[in-house]
Amino acid sequence: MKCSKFNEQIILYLYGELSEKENSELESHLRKCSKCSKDLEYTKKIFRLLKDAEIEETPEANWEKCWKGINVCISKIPTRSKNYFFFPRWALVSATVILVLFLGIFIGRFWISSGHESFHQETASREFIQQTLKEHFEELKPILVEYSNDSLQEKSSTSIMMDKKTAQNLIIQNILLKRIISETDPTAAQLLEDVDMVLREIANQKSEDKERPALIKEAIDKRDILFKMEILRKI
Amino acid sequence: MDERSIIQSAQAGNDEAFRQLFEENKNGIFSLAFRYTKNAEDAEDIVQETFIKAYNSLQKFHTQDQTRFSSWLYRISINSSIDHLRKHKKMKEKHSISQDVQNIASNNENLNPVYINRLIEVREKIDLILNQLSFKQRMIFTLRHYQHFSTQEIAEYMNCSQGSVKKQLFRAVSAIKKDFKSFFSEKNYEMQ
Repeated sequence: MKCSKFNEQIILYLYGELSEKENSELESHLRKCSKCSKDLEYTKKIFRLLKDAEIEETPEANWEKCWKGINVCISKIPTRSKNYFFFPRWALVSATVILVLFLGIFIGRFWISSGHESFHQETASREFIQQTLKEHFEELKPILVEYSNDSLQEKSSTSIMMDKKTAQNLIIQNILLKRIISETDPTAAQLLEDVDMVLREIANQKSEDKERPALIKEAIDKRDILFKMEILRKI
Repeated sequence: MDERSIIQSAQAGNDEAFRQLFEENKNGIFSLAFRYTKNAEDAEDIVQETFIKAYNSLQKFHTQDQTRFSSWLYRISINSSIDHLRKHKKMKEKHSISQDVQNIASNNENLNPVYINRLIEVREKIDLILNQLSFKQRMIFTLRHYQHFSTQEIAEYMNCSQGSVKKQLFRAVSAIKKDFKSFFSEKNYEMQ
């Protein structure tokens, strides 16, 4: 076999990149070929030399300066291009299903149905929306109560991160419901508008902004969000 | 919090989560960039470029995929390193070779001055040879020889075939072998 094939393999052999079969082929060739054996020895010496001359330690970087540079650039990115409202794939799928369902109900209500059938469908649709709205309020309640609580302690960054995630997940649901009920139930739509604003405040808060939770509490209390939610939930 | 949750949080716009990803991956990226450029300032610039690019493309990273976040970052940093070196064709200010050697000498008092001088010359020669390689060859050699990645991993990072990586690696090492042969005959060195 030609030596040129083994020249490449000698390097891969030293890096441990050859298969067992290739290893034994090369070793058998090396036993017979003094030129390739010499080449192997020379390559080994070069590798040793590279190792001896290797810079032993990577210097310490100025990490503070480095992060500052990154932070300056990423903070210039306009807020709207940031995806504040990240939705996991499952959320998008369920939101799409809900949307299609509602669209179906409304198309049926306006274009297909008539007479008694239309009346029954309209009633069923209204009941379904009411039920979904109540469930949405149930999901909103814990996080809003927590922020509205008078004895609100300083929150840890982990707890803030979890709140942000919860708020982000609730925003899409809130937007969908708001759109659906905007014509039929303006009172509930206005409440969802207020909730939307509060959820966005929670989702976009930063842990170093210590005054933000108090502002969120003020927004919840000032708009009587929890009280209105309770009333609508009972109707 | 596991890495996946941190990434999802960063994708949702949480800059603190992104900072956490920076803290966890900065050393690996810096080490590669430093080995590649041999210059700490250039390496810091590459770390910055890598994380800014990563931030801009964060939505393209899918946590459901099998790709590890560090591998994804490596891919970005390899491209950033090659681009960086291409832009600054001649390295601005080389990492102080003699300072490195002095550090070695102070850690090993038994080393004789002749050996230290030889080390300085060898280091300078290595830098010279690496500068003559193509940007891609130099990167492949750095990843394989200094960062100890397999040719398969390098092929994935550099988006090329394993065969092509092996070819480039062979060319890089052959160039080093050839240049050292003439260097040793010029300097009349005995290879140990």
